[in-house]
Amino acid sequence: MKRLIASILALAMSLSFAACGNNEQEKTTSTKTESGKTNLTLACFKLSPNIEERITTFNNTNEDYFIEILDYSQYGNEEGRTKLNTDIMSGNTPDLIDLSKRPLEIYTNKGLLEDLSPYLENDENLSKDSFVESLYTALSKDGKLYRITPSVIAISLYGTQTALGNIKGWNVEEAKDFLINTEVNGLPFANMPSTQILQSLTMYSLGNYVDRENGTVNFDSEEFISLLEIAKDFSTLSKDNGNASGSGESDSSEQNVEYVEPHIALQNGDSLLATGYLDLSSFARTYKNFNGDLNVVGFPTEDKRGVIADYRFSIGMFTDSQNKDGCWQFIRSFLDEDYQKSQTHSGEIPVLKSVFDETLATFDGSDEMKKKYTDMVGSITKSADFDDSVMGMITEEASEYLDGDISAKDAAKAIQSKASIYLAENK
Amino acid sequence: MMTENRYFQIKSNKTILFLLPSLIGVLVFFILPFFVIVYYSFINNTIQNEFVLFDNFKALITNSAFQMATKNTLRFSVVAVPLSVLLALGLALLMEQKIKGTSKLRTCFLSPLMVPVASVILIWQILFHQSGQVNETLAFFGISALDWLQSEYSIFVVVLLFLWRNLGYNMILFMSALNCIPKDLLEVAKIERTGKLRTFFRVKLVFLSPTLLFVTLLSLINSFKVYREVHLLSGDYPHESLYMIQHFMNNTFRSLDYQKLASAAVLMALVLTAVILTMFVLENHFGKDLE
Repeated sequence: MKRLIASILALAMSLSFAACGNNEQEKTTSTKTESGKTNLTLACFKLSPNIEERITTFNNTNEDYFIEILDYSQYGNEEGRTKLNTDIMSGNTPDLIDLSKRPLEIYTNKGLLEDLSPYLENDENLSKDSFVESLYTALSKDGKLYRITPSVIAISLYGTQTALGNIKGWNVEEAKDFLINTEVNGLPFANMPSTQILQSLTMYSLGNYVDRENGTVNFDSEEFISLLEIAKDFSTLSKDNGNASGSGESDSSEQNVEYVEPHIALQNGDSLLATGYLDLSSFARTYKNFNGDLNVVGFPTEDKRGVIADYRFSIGMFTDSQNKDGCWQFIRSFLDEDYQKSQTHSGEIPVLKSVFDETLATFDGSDEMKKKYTDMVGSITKSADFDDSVMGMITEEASEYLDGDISAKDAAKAIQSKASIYLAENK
Repeated sequence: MMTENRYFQIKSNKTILFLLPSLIGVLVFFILPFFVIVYYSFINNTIQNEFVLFDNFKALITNSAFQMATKNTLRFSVVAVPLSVLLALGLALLMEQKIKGTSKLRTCFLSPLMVPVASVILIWQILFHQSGQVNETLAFFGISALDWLQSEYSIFVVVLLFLWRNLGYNMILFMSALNCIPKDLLEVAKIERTGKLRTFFRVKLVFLSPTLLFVTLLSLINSFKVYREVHLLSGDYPHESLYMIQHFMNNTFRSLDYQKLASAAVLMALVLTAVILTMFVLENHFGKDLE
């Protein structure tokens, strides 16, 4: 009996170890479609119709490869992510992945994503210099290019030049001083309740407080506490005739923020700042609405360069893919000039420099407007750092502060504690 | 005519046949996955599959989140498990005195087991809220409100919850064990005018030692399961005093860090094996006269 049990255990060990090391063998055989094309799998969470159309075009025109969409949103948000992670770690890795709205570090820290810069350098028609420089910088991480996007949305705070002056960027203390010392008739942030103010101020500048390299956070800094205070104090009217001097009453106004056109609110002095998603058309429209009195100041960040790049779609390649050439062909298709030109009408900024310059040159607008737009795009250095876990912590703890249950310092301390653990886990 | 050996061999083969379905189940769902986890703990990632020996364990032991989780789990187990065992034993001894209303008290102690966990957590969240009943009671005595769920006091809430849920079951086990103590031995002790304390330690405890071991083991296992309640109370990232090893494992699973998860699981298995073996040795020593 003892010998039988020992043999069963030995067999179990050898079976499990044999199964574990089987990944490489499995991955050498790619699946083929009926027409003999090689299947490339793209993991995503709901693609826009524009991207799906592009995939259909690629599938119809490419003779060697076929993109199969694996939409994990069908399993639900949280369950879909778990399923994707389980697939990756069990060796059933897709070839490509849509990286928008996912923190890049989840994959780069484990060496799961391929650096695309060598592919770019070896391409016949493209190179690093083909990109708008600031957008390439925003896409890169530690000098490597783990994802490519066909187009970018620029997100920023903006206001009138009359109120803001000529400042090109600011940090949290300067933003707070501005809000305290500038008179306003209504709420300083147009159309934004306190939770949205906080989200906007942190979501797009999370890198100020989170250092993933060293696994540290500094949410208990004076800067972040000031940010919390801005979100609370400047989301409500103060007791004395609506001046933005802070110390407003809680909170009933939060649920009842009536929508007003931002340019009307800002020009009338009813608000000081608004959040904008700015491509060339929307920038020109806003510039026109302000009669040129526009200052895109950016979110308050430590380096005072607070115009942030966001991506509706960005694509990366897994190192495990057996068809890297095919994957690059697909990724590269988003950088075709024709496709890039089509992005100029989609509310986004094309990443190819030639298309960006051509669009700007042919656009009907003043030189001054175009210069301001170019300066805005040129000031982009970072991407929006989407981390649901950290944002969830901030929202949860900050809501207690915004409701008046705890102080800003206690909220910051709680966020610091939770975020420290989160970063330490992932170090 | 069948020899005795042949008879036992046939019987043994039949036994194995009947055990086989369960054995296969245990093999497939417990033993095999455990060896897979051991394998994962020795490689860099499941895509490259390169052996890195003990690098994952070194990274784990030096990880501050894991250190915090280990410290908290150890602290909880060291506090809650002995309390759970000793209080349950005390309650069982009390019930043995045949005081009035014993059956009603027994029902009261057992009823927490029947209440769904989510409902329990909801009630406790309301009780221990900033403006909950507990803080109101404290305010009555002039003590300022405490943040019971998001501060260093959270551990008291969880210990209390653990005791409230587990005392009843442990008490029943001890009561059953006390009933099994031979009455003649207790009578002899009484006749010999042995004191109650001496009777307890020299007679009752000896017979209770297997149950003591069982209840301690059960309480230890339940102390790890308290993660369920803590997760419902505080989510994936609770206050640092409540951050347990299971939080660490759950979160590393979600962030694709299977190597840390596997290393932590292997370490935990080794530690628990050592603890359980120690308990068996102690039980063998103290309960040796029993046989």
